[in-house]
Amino acid sequence: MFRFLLSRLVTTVPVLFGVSLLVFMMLHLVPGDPVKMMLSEFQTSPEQVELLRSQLHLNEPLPQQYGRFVVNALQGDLGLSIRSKRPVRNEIAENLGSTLQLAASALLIAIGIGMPLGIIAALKQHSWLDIGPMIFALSGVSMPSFWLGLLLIFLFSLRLGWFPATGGGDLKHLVLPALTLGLGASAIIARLTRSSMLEVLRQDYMTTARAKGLNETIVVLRHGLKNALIPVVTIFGLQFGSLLAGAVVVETVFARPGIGRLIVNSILAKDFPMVQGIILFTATAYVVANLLVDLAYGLLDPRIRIG
Amino acid sequence: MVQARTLNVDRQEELAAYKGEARWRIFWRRLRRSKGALVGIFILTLLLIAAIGAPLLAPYNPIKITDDALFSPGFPYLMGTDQYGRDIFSRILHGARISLIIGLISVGIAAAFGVLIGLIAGYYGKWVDATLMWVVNVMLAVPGILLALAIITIRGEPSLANLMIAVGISGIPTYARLVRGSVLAAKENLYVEAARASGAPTRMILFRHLLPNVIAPVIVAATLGTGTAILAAASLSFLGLGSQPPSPEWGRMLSEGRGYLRDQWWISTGPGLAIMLTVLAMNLLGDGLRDALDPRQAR
Amino acid sequence: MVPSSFLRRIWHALLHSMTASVAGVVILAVVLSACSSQAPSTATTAPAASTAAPVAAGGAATPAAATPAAAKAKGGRLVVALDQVPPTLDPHGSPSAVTFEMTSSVFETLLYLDKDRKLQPYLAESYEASSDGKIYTFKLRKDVKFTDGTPFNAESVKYNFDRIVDPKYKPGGSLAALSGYDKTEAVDEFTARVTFKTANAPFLTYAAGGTLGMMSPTATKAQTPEQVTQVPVGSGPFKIKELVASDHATLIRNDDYNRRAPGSDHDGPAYLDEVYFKFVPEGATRATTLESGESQLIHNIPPQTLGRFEGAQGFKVDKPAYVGTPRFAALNTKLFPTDDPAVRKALLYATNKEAIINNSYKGIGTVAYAPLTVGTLDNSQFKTLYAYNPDQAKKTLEDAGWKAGGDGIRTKDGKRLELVINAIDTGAGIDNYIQLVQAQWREVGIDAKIKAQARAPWYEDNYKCANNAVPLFLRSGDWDGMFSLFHSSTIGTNFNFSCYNNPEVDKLLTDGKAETDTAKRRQIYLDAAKKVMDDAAFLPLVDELSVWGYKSTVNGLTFNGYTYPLFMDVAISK
Repeated sequence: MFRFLLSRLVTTVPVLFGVSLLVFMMLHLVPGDPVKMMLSEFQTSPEQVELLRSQLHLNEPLPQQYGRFVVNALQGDLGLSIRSKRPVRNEIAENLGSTLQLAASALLIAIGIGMPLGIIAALKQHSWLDIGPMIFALSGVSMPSFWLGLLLIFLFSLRLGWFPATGGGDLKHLVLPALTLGLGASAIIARLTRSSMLEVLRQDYMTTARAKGLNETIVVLRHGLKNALIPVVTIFGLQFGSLLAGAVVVETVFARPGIGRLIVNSILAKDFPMVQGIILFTATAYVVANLLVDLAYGLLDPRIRIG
Repeated sequence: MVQARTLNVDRQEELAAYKGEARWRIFWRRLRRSKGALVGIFILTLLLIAAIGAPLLAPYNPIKITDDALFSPGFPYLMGTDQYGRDIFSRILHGARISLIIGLISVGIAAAFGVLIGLIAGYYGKWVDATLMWVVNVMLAVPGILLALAIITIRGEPSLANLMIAVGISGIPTYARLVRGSVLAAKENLYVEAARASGAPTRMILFRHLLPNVIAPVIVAATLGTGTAILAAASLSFLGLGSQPPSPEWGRMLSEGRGYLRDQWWISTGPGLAIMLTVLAMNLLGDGLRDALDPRQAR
Repeated sequence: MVPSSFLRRIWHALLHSMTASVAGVVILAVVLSACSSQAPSTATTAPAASTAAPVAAGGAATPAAATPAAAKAKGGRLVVALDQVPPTLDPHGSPSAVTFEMTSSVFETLLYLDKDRKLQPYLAESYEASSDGKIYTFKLRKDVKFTDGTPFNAESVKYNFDRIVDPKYKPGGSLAALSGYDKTEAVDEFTARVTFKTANAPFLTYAAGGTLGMMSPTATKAQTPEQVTQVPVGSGPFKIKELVASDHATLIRNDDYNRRAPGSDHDGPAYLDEVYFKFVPEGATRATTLESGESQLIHNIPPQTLGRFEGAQGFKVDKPAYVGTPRFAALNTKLFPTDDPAVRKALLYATNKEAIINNSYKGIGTVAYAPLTVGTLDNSQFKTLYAYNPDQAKKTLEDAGWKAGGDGIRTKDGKRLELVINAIDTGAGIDNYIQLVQAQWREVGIDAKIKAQARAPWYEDNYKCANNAVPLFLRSGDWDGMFSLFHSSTIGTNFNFSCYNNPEVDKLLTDGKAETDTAKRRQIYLDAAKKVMDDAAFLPLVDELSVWGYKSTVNGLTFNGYTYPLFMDVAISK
């Protein structure tokens, strides 16, 4: 187990290094002079531009700048937002809770709806209990989340008045955004659970278990489900990324504070340090989440550890 | 979602026994068995007709502003008009063009670079593989839409072209991984060994021998990917980071209809349905193709 | 929250370079905030009925709070939905109108501009102005304390004004209000004398504007830069409790308020316990929050939803007219192809303002003719200029050598007649009317691209004269607002997004600052406006109204002469 852990860590570090390089280069790939960009709202003399450039160390050789960037990032210092003049770290921290709340509730909804649907569909393959959920799942995968969000607003806010249409705050504000994000993800989970389940049901040990006269339900739950879960766990890692990405759209539709809305606003405002910080943070979180998922995977299926 | 899958050896030999057309016949017979794929093909055919024939089929100019604002669906405007008095039906037809072009070009970019990277990485192995896969893994570490957002930021202005580039680049890793996996399996085959031993140029081995063997999963992935790309592009346009007004791009149309959701629901419903049906068709066809091209997966 | 030393260094570096630059910089405008931003909403705003252009200058028509003080219930929380997030709550630092929509009951000013645009005493009980417009002496109230307990006196005035012109500080609209500032002296504890090097005739009006609001010297000095932007301290009937960026802000009652604010119906503290602002950029959603009861007061009701509130049971709508400029497009006089006067004139002829008002404003607003609204500077002489006439537009282009091309877009010397509209997007897309303008221009053979961007890059482009047409509006309590729009010294530093440079106009605008005779001043600004219109550097669109909708249980909402809402008389009945 330890060796597996180590090998995964060894592959993770270069990826994080690459992400930091990519994010660092962003500022330098953007057309135009980043310093002038930072001073965009002010009329400045060339001397002042140069002064700020040296104060921000932007006149140093790139490798040196990169080193500084990494050292600072490791200490949690992601620079200052151009727009608000506040530390990027603080802004991310302020918005993170709301996004995590959204992602976590969406994931719960996705699992709560997706897994049962997938299991039922697999057990009743080719019946309407299979076709129905799979049509739902396909539609869910194909539906743009911003449209789903608007439809939910139309129905539950404008027509029925059950939930607020917008903003952050108490749990009532969470329901519609979480549903929007969760329904889409549930479709993916339903499809994956179904095919994973189908594969397991075909395995010899299932036949053996049945042949031993065990109760079908127990067979399915004890043997089938456990094994079917293995690939499904991977999806959580992937879903974490797609939930974060989905938050970009969903938070905008519902005008809900969070990381997703922060990055969209920052891009529109050309607030590069903020964009850099968010991407670096998100990518790191994503890589770490996948690492954890891999470890969980290794726990569930000892064969993997060797690899 | 698409996993790397190669045709198994039996299948390859069986296929190799047929001439080209026969191979296609088998493929078509299998594809026809999938009702979903047929539905997908049907929708896509309609979409293609709409896209190609938009100028002839659209009853009105899609960007012409008129005084007939906010007409409900019916006569003379089949799907109603938006707040600018533009005919929504005509806009959706023209939007089909834009969406298909976005889908094709971004997937084209993604597949072309992805396949190339995958081929090279898989074939050369060692440090070439390690380096390329490092790049791919780095790209994969940034969730797709964020990567696209980053690229749009780097490119400066939001525009249709930048949108396609962004969506295209963020799709590269999928294909690179897929192809690399297939190549790793395929290059152990005897005929590849034979070609290499006989001193065939690398280019020939890559494109003549390896590519055909890995192309099936790429086709499946590209079909599914087109749906994903259209969806991603619509999302970005919805956020104001894609096509610019007065373009009848579906994501933008939806975004412009937001303010009228309550009383003029039709402004956003049309484009919403259009996006969903298009992506659905791509998914159905993709699933069908996978089953037809990769019998191991068939159920 | 405590920045590491490295962060602090960057912060200081930024601050330092900004401040250093400030002298030249002057960002904002006229005393009043600029507002570009507003876009969507504003557009939306305009109420229909109102044919009526606002009354004399300024307009703010205020719905009087008829209810007598005694009848009003104390306590309660007013939830207000605004369309924008303020860039800062520091009144001296903000270029944006939304700040003052929130802070007009937090920061008090030396004078008060009432709804009829008359100056009234406020923190100053009386004032004297020298005839040359350079020296202003204010006799201050003696019973005023800031909400942190600091007494208000002549030193406070000095601190505030010195702060604004301090080269280390980055001011918003406030600096332009103090143009030509020399010094403030405390003649005695409660007498402040403000001296200008060059005449500043509009200063008294500006002294009544939110950008020159008085902040507590003690608190401001003690706060971190971040705190000053979030919870600055004033002396008004309310104080700021918190600003949570991108979500909400809260004001709470100042229980120690011991006087009667100008225009108020009672002495002593306000009625409400709390005013809670939430930021909802999307107009239709904002309107929904009012219907659902999530909010009780909203700004900028989208025109298409106005019918659900106006005259409807349970709701009230107020539509005071904005002061300053109409909604307009600055036409870039330096950049191809709008550097060609014929193109600019064609744009003026090609723009159908009636259609914009009917379609996008649903009648909430009136046709604009000149750089200042009809209510701000009466201008009947302009009403015949550039009436909508697409044929005249085509002819103007034709005569200047712009010939119709194959795709309907004109060309000249092989160059297409393509231009860029720089539109601001504050979070809910661009204003409706911009696409209308785009379509109208296309009718005469002009291909306009819309560039939608957020506030900061929008400003950046404008300072660089990088786009051809810039839709915006500017609120100004004085005709001097035109200085920020058209004086050549304000290219790249203020709102001269037309990049307009006309020595005759420069002279008029400078003279206007020094002229203290109202009739003569008026003529100066009329002359300047006429020249600007002759040069077609300015495309007036719509004289707009500020539309506020609220529950009929909300009483006593009033507006000052700058059209900003005041909350001290607001009470919520059951």
